[in-house]
Amino acid sequence: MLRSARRESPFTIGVLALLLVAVGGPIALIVWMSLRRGLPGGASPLTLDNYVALFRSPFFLETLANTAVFAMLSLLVTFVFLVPLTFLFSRTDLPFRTGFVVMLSIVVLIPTFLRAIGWIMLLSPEIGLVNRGLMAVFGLESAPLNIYSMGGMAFVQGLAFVPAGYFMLSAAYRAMDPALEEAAYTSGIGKLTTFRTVDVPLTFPALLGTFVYLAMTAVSAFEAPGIIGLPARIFVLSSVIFLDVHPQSVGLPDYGAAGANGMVMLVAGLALAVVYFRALRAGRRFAVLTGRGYRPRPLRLGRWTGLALAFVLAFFLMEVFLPLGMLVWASLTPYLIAPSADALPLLTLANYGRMLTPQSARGLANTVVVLAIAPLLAVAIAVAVAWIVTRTASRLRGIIDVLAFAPHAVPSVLVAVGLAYVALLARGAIPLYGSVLIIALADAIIYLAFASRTLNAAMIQVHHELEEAGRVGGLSPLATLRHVIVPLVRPALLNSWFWVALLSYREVTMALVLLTQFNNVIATDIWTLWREGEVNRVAALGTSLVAVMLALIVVATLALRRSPVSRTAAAGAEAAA
Amino acid sequence: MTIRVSGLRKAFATAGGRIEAVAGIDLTLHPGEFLVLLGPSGCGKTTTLRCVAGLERADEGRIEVDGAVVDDGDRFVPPERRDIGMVFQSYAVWPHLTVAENVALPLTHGQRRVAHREIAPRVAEALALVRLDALASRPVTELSGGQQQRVALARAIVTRPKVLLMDEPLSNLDARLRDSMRTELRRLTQALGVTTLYVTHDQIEALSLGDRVCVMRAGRILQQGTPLEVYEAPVDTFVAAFVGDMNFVPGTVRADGAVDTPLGRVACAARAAPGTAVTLGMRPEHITAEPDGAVADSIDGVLRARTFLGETTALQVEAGGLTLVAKVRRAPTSSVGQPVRLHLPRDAWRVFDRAPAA
Repeated sequence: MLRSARRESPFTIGVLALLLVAVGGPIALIVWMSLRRGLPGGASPLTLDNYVALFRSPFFLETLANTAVFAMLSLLVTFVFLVPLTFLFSRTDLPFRTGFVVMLSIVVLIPTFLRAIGWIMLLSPEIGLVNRGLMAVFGLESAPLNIYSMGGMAFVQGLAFVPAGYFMLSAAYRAMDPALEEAAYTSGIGKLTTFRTVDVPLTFPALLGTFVYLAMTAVSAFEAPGIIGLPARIFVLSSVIFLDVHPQSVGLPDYGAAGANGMVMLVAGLALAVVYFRALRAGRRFAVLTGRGYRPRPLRLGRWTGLALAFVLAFFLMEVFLPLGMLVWASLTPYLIAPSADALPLLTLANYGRMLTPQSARGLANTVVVLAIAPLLAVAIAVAVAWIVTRTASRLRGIIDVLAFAPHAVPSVLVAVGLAYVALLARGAIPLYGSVLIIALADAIIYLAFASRTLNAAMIQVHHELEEAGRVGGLSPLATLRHVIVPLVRPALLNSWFWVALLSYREVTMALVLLTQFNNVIATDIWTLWREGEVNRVAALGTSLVAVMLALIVVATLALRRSPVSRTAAAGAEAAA
Repeated sequence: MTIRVSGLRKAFATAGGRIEAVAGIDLTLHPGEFLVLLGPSGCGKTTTLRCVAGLERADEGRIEVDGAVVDDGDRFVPPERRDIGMVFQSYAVWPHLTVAENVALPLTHGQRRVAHREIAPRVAEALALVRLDALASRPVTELSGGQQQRVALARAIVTRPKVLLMDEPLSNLDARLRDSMRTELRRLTQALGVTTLYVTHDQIEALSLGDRVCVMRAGRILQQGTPLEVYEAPVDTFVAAFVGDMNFVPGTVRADGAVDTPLGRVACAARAAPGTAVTLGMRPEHITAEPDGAVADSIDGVLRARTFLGETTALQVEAGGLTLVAKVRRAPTSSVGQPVRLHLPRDAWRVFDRAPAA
């Protein structure tokens, strides 16, 4: 008789329970709310009314079509830049390519909604400076470009996906055994033909994987559809869900409709996830990972260098310098005015002076609270998860691993709606609804996937005998964790803490869904001011947000003595998408 | 400190199904004894050791240390509560700590922690024993492999455990270092009088270090005994071949106890029924190369290869359709391809059941 050698420890069971509640809870509640009418906690039979109403609405098909078109158009924009950039940065001798990659890892953190605001200032038919310039130069009657369109939305979103896409794709390129290319060269096949017949087919699974992953993200992306799509009345699933719980005119939030729409989003995401994992498996079949630390000689660009640099610079102009530059410029002017010598005397810091109001002071304080709680919570849970997954023989570790990774695949807008719902249900017992705590909780849940993946990777490299040496040396499991494992993974610990902090700092989607009267954070303040038409104050606040972030990155990079392009940054870039 | 292992079984679930790593082992370590578990990789020796350490839980059986049960299915004493020290194959020194900090951690944060003022002298004592006192404040990652191994040893003995467990501690060292560390290990364990369980796949380590050697295969112990017993009187061809080289010759027992073989009639005393198929074995160093002339127990063959090894010369000789290996001190004058006569002393033959496992 074999005795059951693996009794699960209370610790493991506790972590599993925590994950089930924190990660599984919001999703389960989406299902639950989609089957009920009325407000949370109200009496309602289980009903399919929400689905019936949704599917009967002519608006539904339009939303679905919009979402699909938005996702595909965004990805078209992304890949037009992504594939050449990945090739240039990882396979050629393009000058400054290391610097460009560092830049990508930093600009990934500039929130999409700030980029969108920058682009609106450039391309809106009414206030867009580019439009006004074109009209003046060519004597046009009306604005030639309109950001308030499906194309404009997809353009902004697509550009915002490029850095994340780069880090996903370049990993596959870097992992590729150069011997596979060299075998082609020595067989007498030219470099370009080799790229076409060896590199591209071999990295196709990675390309497909990146595409599907970004498609999943695009289906639930809210920032560009919120800033650009809402005023333009171009609705996608995410903005419809947002409007369901935050009606713009009078009306009560309709969690039933949000739930039904959310289920549609989940099903779409699930379908894409199946494709994604298929692509991953196909990638493994090719087994191009050999782990040899050998760098292939980069392809020489020669006379193409100039053209390649121009392409990269044009990309960065659109990716960051134009929209962000516009934001900085607008933060220094009293009203929206084109940059020119005439405008220089008008420059003022008044917008910055007007930033601090009771409202924004509370936003600042709330943001600090979020940053104090969310990263700590996410990293603490991630340590426990990583320890169980990589260090124990628990039979529960598979499910724990999956649960910790799940938030990566679950749209953040749905996690927020689910959390809002549960907070409303429990508002008699726990004063969570409308507090800043619930935003910190949402951030911790969503970024747990990133933190646990980073710590898994770090902890798996700690040889099991290092831990066992602690145990036979008389250290309890907890003492071993504290004195052996945690010190050994400290860099990963600090890195993931820092990245979760940065990601939470610029997170706006969930904060908006959970926004009530007093739990505003800086990001939602910017959003609210923008809706109120305070263009120049938005610019000042947005510029400050980005400036503080850049300062933090510089300080952290110096303190951790690490290039921002570590593996953590690459993983963080995916989480930022 | 006596360690008694009885009926130990341990299986692992792998992709290919359940694998029984330890399939019923009984073992007793007497106080102060140095016992070696010897066997090929996958024979269950490391799993046995890890069960004694408490790093694995037994599926079945019981482990007692000093009369107290530490694992019998109901009771399980975790490793930190067993009075043991362990040296790992990978050394497992903690790279974030200095040499002294590595050795001190069990005393500062372990179950067997000591008073603060005692820590420094205890660490110094342990480091002196492994001759590392001069490097105490160095980061451990700056040390060579051999030095790291000594840190691991100092860390294992600093708590003054009654039992020392070692899992292939020398296998990552180069050959020269391995020799000197082997001598040092022997000196150290004798000086400390600690009961030692030592795992290795290297027969030289096993024979030179152990008071007793257990040869293991497929989760079972095939033979236990002193190094001399195991080497001179192996119970089967597997043990014989694992603890050293041996020539095997198939044969059939005759009515008079002699054995008919392809080499001719061998006048060894086989204690088996006439007609039984047996395997005869002889170690290469028992064979000598004879000059021409009729000598009893000699055979004629053709020299196929010779390898000069320094103290000895290895000969490959083809005789009776078999290739025999001899390690001789005095090499014959014959060159490769020429006839050579070998002397196979009848007393040196071992007779095994015909189940040539190896």
